[in-house]
Parts: sequence; C-alpha cells; structure tokens
Amino acid sequence: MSIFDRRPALRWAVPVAAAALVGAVAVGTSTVASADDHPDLPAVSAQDLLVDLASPTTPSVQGTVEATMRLGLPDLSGVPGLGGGPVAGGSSASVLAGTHTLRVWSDGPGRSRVAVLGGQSETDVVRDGTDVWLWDSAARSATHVTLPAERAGVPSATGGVGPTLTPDAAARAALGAVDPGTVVATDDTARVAGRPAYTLTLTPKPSERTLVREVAVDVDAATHVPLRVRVWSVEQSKPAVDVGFTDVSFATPPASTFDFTPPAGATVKTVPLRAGAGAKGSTRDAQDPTVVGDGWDAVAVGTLDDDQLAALTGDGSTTEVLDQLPTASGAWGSGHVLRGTLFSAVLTDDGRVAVGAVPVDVLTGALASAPQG
Amino acid sequence: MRTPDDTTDDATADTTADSVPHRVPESIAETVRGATWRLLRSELRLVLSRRRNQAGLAVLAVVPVVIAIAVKVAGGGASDGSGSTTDSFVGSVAGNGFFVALAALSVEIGLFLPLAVAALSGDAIAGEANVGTLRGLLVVPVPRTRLLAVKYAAVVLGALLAVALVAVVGLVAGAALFGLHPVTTLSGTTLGLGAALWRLLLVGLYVGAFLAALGALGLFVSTLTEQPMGATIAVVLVSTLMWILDSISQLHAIHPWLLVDKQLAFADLLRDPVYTADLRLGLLTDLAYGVVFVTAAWARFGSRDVTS
Repeated sequence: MSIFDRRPALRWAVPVAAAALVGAVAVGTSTVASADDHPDLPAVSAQDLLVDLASPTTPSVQGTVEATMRLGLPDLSGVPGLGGGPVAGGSSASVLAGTHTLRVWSDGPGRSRVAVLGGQSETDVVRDGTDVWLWDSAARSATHVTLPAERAGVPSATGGVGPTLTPDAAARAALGAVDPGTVVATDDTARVAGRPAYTLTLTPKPSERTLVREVAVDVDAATHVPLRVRVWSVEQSKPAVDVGFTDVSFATPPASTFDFTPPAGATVKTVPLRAGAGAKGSTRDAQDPTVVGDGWDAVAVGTLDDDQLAALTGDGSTTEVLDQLPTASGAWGSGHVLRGTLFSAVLTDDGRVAVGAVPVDVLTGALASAPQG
Repeated sequence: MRTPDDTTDDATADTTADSVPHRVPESIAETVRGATWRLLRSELRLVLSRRRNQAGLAVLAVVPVVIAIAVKVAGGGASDGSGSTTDSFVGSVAGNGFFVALAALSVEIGLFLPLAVAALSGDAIAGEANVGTLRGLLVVPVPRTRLLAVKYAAVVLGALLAVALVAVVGLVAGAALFGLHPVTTLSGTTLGLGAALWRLLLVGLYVGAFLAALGALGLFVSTLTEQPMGATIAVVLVSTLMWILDSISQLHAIHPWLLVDKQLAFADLLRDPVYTADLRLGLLTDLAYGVVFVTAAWARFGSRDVTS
C-alpha cells in the first residue's frame, strides 16, 4: 500500500507541488530574462566600439526580433510617404505602432530577409543583391523592386525599401546621428538574447533642441553585431523605440532563404524604383528637401508637388487622417501639426513639409527661415 | 446509457479467475492490464454510441462545409482582385481548398472544440456518478487511478477524433469545391501537397494537445460534482473566459498564464521555415495545465467517497 492509499488527503500535495513548480519555473525564467544583467566584459572605449560596429566579425545573422514603438502617432496607414507608401503597401505603417515580432535572416550586406509576423499573415521583404521582393500574405501580393546596381552592396537590410525595423537598420540610423553634438559613452554592459553585449549610449548635448533624450545600442561583445537599439524620448520614461533580438544565431542561413518566387495565384507587381516612395533620397531629385540646422535638431523642409498634395487632400482615407491632426498657424503660415514622441511634422496648407526629431516650435522656426519653394 | 451490468460484465469474469490474488501477482498484473484495455474499449464504444456525441460531431463537421459553401457562393474573396485583405485563412480558401481545414479549425478552436471536450469530460466522471454507475465501475479489478487514466484517455481520443473530423471534412469539402493545390505558406513559399498535409497533421496534433489540456481541466471539474451538465458548463465558461481575457490587450501581464494564449500559434506551422517559439510555449502551457489538473483529478478522485 502506498502512502497515498493510507492517507488520501496527501494526494493533494502532488497537484499543489506541480502548480508551484510551474509557477516557479515561469516566474523564474521571466525574471531572469528581464533582470538587469551586467556581464563583466573587458573595458572598451566608445571610439573602438564604434569602429567594431562598422566591421562585424560575422556576415551571417539570423533570429527573432521584437520591435516596440511608442511614437505617439495617430493611425497613419493611409498617408503616403509617412506610411508604407505604395511599395510597402501600408504594412510598415502599422509597424510604427505597438509591438511586432520579426524574423530576420542576413548573409552579408546584400542578402537579407525580414518577415513581420501577423496572426495568420506575414509580410516579407526578401533581398538578394539588387533584387527586392515584398510579399504580403494577407493581400496575396508580391512586389518586385530592382535596386540600381550601385546599391547592390549597400548594407541596409532591404536597400531602403520596405520595413527596416531590425536592430541593424536601427543601429545604422542611430550611428548616422553621431556628430559633435553627441556624447558617446560605453559605461555599461547588458545581456541581449542570452549574449553579453556592450551598451553604447549616444546622448545629445543639452544645447541640442531635440526630442531624443538618449539612444542605447547593445553591441554583441563577440561578433560586434548590434543586438538591440533603444531610443528614449524626452517625453516619456519607456523607450519610444525598442528593437532587439530575443533570439539570435550567427549560423549561415541556407541560400534558399533569399530566393523568392511569387507563388501561384498571387498578384505580382513590378514597381520602378522612381515611383517607389520610401527609397530615401533616390527620388525627387529636383525637390530634395532643404536641411535647416544640423545635428540632432536638424529639420528637413520640403515641398510637395501638386500630385502629392492632391494625393494627401483628395483621397478619402488620407484626408480623414489629416483631419485628426491639430492645426496651427503663425508667422510661418498655417497647417496641420503632428506631435510624436520622437519626431514632429508640420504640413502647411500650401504644401510645405517640415520633419525633424525636434519639438514643433523648432519646425515652425525652420519653416519661417527656409526659402520658399 | 451505461447500466451497472454493462460496466462490470467485462471484468467480473477476470476477478473470479483470480480467486487467490496474492499468490499469483503476474497474472493479476495481466488481468488488470487486460481489464484496462477492455475498459478503454468499452468506454470509447460508449462515448461514440451516445446520440448527443454523434450529434456534436455532426455539428463540428458542418462548420467546414459551411465555410466552403459560403466562400464559393460569395465568389472568391481575396483572389477576385477586389484587393480585399484578411488576416485569416478564410481569405486563402478560394484559391485552395486545403485552407478550408485550417479556416474551420481556427473558427472552431474558440468554442466548438472546447465545448466538445467539455461535454466528454463532464460525462466522464460526473456523468457516471449522476446515473449511479460510478460505484459499479469501481468494482472492476482496475484501481481508481487506472480508471481515471482510462477516462482521460477516452476524453483525449475523443478530442483528437473531433479535430481529425474537422480537418478531414474540411479537406474533402475544400477539394470538392476548390480543388487541392500546392500550398502557399504565409511566407510566400510553396509547399507540395504531401508536405502541406504533414503540416496539417502537425496543426491537428497541436490543437489536440490544447484540447487534451482542457480535457484535464474538465476531468478535474468532473470529479468535483455529480452534475455532468454543471461540469460541462463550468469548463466552457472557463475556456471562453480565457479567450476573452486573452483578447483584452491591457491584460497582457496575465496572458502567458492562460491556456488559450498561444493556441492560435498553429498558424506558425504554415510559415517557412516553421516559427517554433510560440508553438513551444503553447505546448509547455498545455503540459503545465495537463499535469496540474490530471494530478488534481487523481487527488480528488482517489480521496473522495463514492456513494452513487
């Protein structure tokens, strides 16, 4: 006779112990994962770390990325240019809010695949050299973009097309901001996706009138691959942008990862890059935006052409979004104002646009000082 | 309905054969094992012969047929060039009948499949107690623990049968109305039909694991009461409540603790390569719920006085 037959009440100890074990394991793993873990690493100077970042020791990175955005934006899915634009089909606009899970594969600068996971859907950007495919499973559409040959080796995740919310892309954007107005430091370490990493912090000097409080880039100690990027706004305590690996490996992905053949039954579009908004700097040569100021409080001031203005004010959904935005007026004119936590934008009634990681008054000041047209 | 005779006649012959049990332990073990198998067989026969269970299976099977016909009548959905997009497998049905099975499973996982498991597990113990056959069952030479295991096995097999039925009817209905073609994964790659059917099998097993965990909860509730309807309703309530809580994003802190939180992750099996992180979490949650509630049912069933 077992003890459970003699003392049946003791049987309850088994489910209680099982429940306690489950609870302990669950709580244990979640606190370990979120614990402030600062591994001991040999000291490294910020300058050395910046150099290391530019030359990772491995070309291959794959893993799962969690991206959380707290940009304080209204629903922008209908706004061309601010949203995904015609190429990304609005999908990247939805990535600008909330938390998203992405799967990332890359093998060298020109080969990458980024998949944004939805419930029963997925958006993929597959790049192999100058060939970029965008796949949207919900719309069952595949869009083909061919990059100019000189950008075959440009090491952005997707050559500037489609959603680029990877730690690598975010780190590049952040490092682009390093200038004399920035304090660069490495006085901390972190553990990201189980790997020890150096934390590189970029802090705008107090003289910069910017919405950015601090940028932290966690750099893998062994491979120098950026594992996590966080951007804090002056307006909130939680990071406005938090993009980091939850799981990462440096194994070489199979070559088939970067092949994309449109499946049968899908709508296939070929978009010439010129019409593909979102490819930064490659279009609208005649109307390149003027940059007012420099460093963190630089403001891009541009003018929409008639087609773009018509698109913004003519299309129903876009007008609706625009109408949600508060209006303002002053010496610079009048127009709609978008106040995000990390950047603001002003669209004047006569079609001028100013965008920057600055408060709105800096934007309007730039508009007032910028030459018309 | 089971009568006291029905439940015992399999086993009484065996008990008489072993009139001196402590002398021949091997044959007792064999007898017990044989009785266990016979008990499971008779339990499954009983579950399948109940009219309400047959009616329940019919309702489960109707859903994929309705989905297939609805999409056919509506004339195409996402593939008709209207540009409509849906974040669901229903949108892919028009292009490929294979997706009827997946669409039906994602529709039924919220209520119909949990309801089926709740009904089975409500009958398992509380149902027997309610009609007074539980006491008779305990006379067979099968320890209570084995009896409980047989009851749980029958619930799990019933749940797997329900899932298989939905998937197979979905495939048949989809094949009839839209044909079966190589399957486009969510990632945009194409799987041959054979590989896709393997993925569907894995989807079925994943949903089956969820239902098995829910069945464990149901088995425990079933040992608490003599009212099978009460047990069934309680399980459906708990299941539905968990789906509701899981849909309220402000409660994200408790979501990992809910059994249903990762169940729709079966869609991850249709990605290429398969995304396993959420599937693994889902299976661990199933396991945790299963172990806790099966042992709780065992504790309750082993320590309670059975009077009816």
